[in-house]
Amino acid sequence: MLSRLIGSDTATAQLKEGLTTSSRAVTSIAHRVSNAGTPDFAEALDAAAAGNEGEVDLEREMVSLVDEVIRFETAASLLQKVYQQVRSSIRER
Amino acid sequence: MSDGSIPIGVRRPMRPLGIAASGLTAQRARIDAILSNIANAETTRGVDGTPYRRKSVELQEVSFQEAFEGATETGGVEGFGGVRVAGVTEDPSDFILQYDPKHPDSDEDGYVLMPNVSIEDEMVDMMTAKRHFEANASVFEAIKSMLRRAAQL
Repeated sequence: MLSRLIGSDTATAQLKEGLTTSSRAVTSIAHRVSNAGTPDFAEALDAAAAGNEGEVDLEREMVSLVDEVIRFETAASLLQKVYQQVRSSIRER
Repeated sequence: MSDGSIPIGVRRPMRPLGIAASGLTAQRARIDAILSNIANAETTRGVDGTPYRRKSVELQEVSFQEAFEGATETGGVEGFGGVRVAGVTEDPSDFILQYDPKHPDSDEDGYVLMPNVSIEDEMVDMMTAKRHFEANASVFEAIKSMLRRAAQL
């Protein structure tokens, strides 16, 4: 019964996956932003090779940061609702 | 742990915070160097008797490869991502020759060797460092709110 709510083939599993994805994305953003002033920063050099300027674009990183935080918040809120359902279904009959 | 890299033993969920913190430390070190340069912009007698040389902080990326996988729970410093202060370098460019016969350090022709510091350049560097510091602070706050939210689930 519970596996219908929190099993691996439910929306809950996707929400959990979403949390992981967002936190990984934010870790990458943290890494890029912390190296914004680093000369010879590998990812910036890659960007330079791809035709962009060889520098971390702080504005773009800030936009992605907010994007990821909002996604995380949303997934967390939805997940919290699911867990509430589980809790109340355990408590009441 | 003054080089700003993530200390050994930072727990895995807190590592993104450590990355942002390493950025804050690195930018603060940059600002410290700039402050020293501005304070010594007219120092004609440095520690070795020669005019002050412009200092700059050398930043280095800490490998990000094992930030998610591979690194053990309390693994080494390398592989967590972020940035570290690799060292302080002195600007080898020439000193500025200034005509000031009244200066105690002037030569017989009245010229003084002044530090190779340009206040304008330092101010521009300061603005950049400050902006980078603020960006890292925003990332830190964002990660903190996410961790707190995750703890509420």
